[in-house]
Amino acid sequence: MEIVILIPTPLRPYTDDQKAITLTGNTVGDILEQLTVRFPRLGKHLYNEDGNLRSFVNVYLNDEDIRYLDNEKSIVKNGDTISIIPSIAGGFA
Amino acid sequence: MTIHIKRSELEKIQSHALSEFPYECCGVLIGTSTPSPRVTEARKVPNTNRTLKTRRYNIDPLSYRKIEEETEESGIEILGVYHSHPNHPATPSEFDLTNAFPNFSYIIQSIDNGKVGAITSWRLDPSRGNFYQESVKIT
Repeated sequence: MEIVILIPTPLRPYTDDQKAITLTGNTVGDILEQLTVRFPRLGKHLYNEDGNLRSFVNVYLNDEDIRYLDNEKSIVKNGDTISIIPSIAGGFA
Repeated sequence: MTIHIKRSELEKIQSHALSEFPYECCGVLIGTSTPSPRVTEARKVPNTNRTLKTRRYNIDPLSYRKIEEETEESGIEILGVYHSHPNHPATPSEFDLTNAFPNFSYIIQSIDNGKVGAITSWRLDPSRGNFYQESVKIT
């Protein structure tokens, strides 16, 4: 399946300033894996030391948070769009 | 690194922080990034944190994506975010650090008992280990 993955502004320095990348795969996990193989410097900003997606990284399949689908096992189909969206959160404590 | 911000936008951040006190306010910083970040718009975004708004903030991911799409159509970009620290110094917390993205400016506006306090800006070191402070220049 050919999927477009959208890269948020702060991560584009790690994707040669590309904001949309077309990759092929059957699941969200396939696509993310290919993305980090192609752009290795992106990896540590998406995954923690245990190899799990960082909690402050949101991944949407079209308009759905993959946490409410099947996480990285979510099946993709031609024409779908995956968005990596920063989880904008913080506070003093 | 220095972040430049229009006085009118700085005043918007301060006004927003005061109006939300004692809760944290938040918003996005929009402008151009080269040769250095220049904020031409500070846009308010609702704090969607439901239970800890006096010390936490969240921005809805789809709202963020929508703003990113809109700004890019206009040839500008999201440079970072701002938030307030009610009755707390304008220094980032461990929680701020954990949730930060690289290549973004994080402006913190302190509000001290309902009055405007210090304003600072921070960037995440690419190693993800710590923040470093950048200068805020009002234009």
